[in-house]
Amino acid sequence: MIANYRYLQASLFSFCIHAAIFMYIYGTFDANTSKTLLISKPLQVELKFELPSKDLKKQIPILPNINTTPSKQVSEDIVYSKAEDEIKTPQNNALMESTIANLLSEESEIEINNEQQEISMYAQKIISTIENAWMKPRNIPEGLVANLRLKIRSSGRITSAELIKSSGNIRFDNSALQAVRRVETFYFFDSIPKMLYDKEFKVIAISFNPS
Amino acid sequence: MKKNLLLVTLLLFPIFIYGELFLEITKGSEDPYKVAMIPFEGNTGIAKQLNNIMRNDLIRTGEFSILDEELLLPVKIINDELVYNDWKLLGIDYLVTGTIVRANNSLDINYEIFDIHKKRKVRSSKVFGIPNQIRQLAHYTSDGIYESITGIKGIAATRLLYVNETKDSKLISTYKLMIADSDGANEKVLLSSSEPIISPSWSPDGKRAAYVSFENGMAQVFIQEIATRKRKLVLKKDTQISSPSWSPDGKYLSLTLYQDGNAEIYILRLRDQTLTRMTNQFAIDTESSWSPKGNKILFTSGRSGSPQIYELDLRKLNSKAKRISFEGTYNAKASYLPNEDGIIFVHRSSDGLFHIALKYKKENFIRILTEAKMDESPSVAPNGNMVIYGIKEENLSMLAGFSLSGAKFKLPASDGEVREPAWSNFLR
Amino acid sequence: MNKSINSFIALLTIFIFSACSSVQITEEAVADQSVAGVSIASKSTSTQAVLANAIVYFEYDQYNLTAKSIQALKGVSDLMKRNAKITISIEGHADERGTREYNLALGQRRAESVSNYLIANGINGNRLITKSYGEERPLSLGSNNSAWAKNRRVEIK
Repeated sequence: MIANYRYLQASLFSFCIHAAIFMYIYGTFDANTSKTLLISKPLQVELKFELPSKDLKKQIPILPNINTTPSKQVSEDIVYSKAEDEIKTPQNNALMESTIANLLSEESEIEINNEQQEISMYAQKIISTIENAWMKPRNIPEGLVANLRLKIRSSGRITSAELIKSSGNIRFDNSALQAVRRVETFYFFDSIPKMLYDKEFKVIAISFNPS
Repeated sequence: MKKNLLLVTLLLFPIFIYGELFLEITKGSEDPYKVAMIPFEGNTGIAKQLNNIMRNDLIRTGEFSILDEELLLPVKIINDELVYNDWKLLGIDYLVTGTIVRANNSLDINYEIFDIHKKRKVRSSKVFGIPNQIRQLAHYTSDGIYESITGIKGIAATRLLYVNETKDSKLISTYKLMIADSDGANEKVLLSSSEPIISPSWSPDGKRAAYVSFENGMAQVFIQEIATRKRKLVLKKDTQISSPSWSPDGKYLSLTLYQDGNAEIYILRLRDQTLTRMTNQFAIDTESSWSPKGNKILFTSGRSGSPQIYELDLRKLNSKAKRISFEGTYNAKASYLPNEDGIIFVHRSSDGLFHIALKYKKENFIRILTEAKMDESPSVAPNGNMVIYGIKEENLSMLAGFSLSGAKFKLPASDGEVREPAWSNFLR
Repeated sequence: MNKSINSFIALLTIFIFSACSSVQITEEAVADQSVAGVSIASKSTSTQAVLANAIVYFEYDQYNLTAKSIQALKGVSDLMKRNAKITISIEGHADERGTREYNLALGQRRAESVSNYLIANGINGNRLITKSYGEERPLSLGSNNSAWAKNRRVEIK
């Protein structure tokens, strides 16, 4: 009887150690940092839009849907971000989903990291293309910000540009729209993988902020 | 005595229609919309003139680059749809077409605007008029086109007041108060005098002008009805009165009175000639100008030791004038931008030269907008996008203007010198 | 009628020489202003000569009298004391730089300085009319320092 008990103890102890090793390998003890990914959030966003809440009383002809939304000041000229209304899942669920996904496959983490970099790269290209086409109007007050929502085909052709936040200065708003009109097509879009395009680049929001 | 009176009366009687101020565009804006205008069809006699006026109106704004007529393509319409690609290749942003419809008592213009990028028609409009109003009709149409594309109201259909001075062989001057279309065309004389005329000011409804005339031996303010040419002294007083400015509701005139021997600002209620004194201090207070909403006035005061711009809130009792210009030793003749987010004024820079400057309310620095030496008398267009002012080039005074986007133009006189421009409000 | 025309022509000649405004208007102004005493138009030639010489000049942007100007005004002061009925018109001017209305006010200031001096010297204010032409009646055409200096003045008539 004593021999059995000892054996039982040993097996239990052994089991604990093995479990610990097992769980260690699969990261249960690690703190929740970069491993818990936000699957459907835009990445290098300095500016986040809330969904437009009210319409401006004044309507600019030809340019529909001018809405005012509160927004933070941004230091860069143009900032890319994915339009909010494409995001359907709230943050918590995404977290849960991704944690479970991580436990199952470590490789997908590395893929997502690469994806972030890719998104960042294309976002940068979008920004510089528009910047090159943008002529900031003269004699406008400082601190103006205008935001546009762009709908883009997979070919890179911009099918619609909407002013979602007016700067309050018509010439400034016009210059933003003119810049987008001039660009017309982002030729590098055909090198964006379809899945990435579908997820991130179908509808984007751009902020023009010269200060 | 009777003989002299007759002479004076003749001189004061407005004479004939003049010619045109020649408008010279010296610079376009940097970021123009590229527009192709297909000459409007219909009634060939009038069409050419209408097309020219519209074309020039749009070029003048500086916001458009209008395609040369020789480069215009034939408009291709296939199955009711405009073929856009050809225009795209030319780099055109918008295409404008239209027709002129002449009937017995009417002259109307229909126009359509096509957005070449969006590949669709974005505006279809009609301007109603009568046959003897060709210029006006053309101006209204260009304003409609301008507003459709830029979202900014056009000023082609507005008018200017200004003073013309000519000298005869003995160097004796004749002064004329002139009115013209905003492009300098259609000049008419409102007043001709052997004594100086200064400070013309439009009533908000565009029907009357107030100005200072020295015809009675000293500065006095007259109001004149433009349509009838009838004029009268705004206030009968033995003291000098000058610097008139209309309130936006047309019921008041702010004035500078010298009755204490010192220039002070008063507000005159036109209906019953009640005078309310607004300033009362030792230094010069003059050049008052109303805010578009009618609750503030700007004026120039020397109370700090040199001319600076001050603002007075009219809604508050015993309101104190607030200084709003702090850069430099001479800031004067200020007026508000139509949306009151800034002021335009005359500024003397440290090299002693006078320029037209802009200061936004929210900023604490000024922007110098002109480069000559003795720029003066700025007047802002009612859309807030253009300013006309006086310059002196080679000892000759003339008018010049610019858009905030950087376009520039000049309006020299056909004879003599011109100065003191005043831009009307939008007219109906 | 004849006498009136004659004096009109005489004055016109004098005024053209000093590049002043048409006299008809001034005569009307006199009537409007109902000034007591001897009208401006009918001063003796010698009186007019004294007044024509008493041009007071000013510094840029300034309206205070200099020692030189006070000298010039002494003659006027004496003249007016000798001739108790004379009334004078003191006209202030400015050079072309700056805005027109501010220059009108500046010219008035300059006229007031002269007027105040004379009053301080015992001349009754009722005999003095001050007014300003701002930059509207330059003596010297030209956009240089010398022309401008000549235009910053007060003339007495």
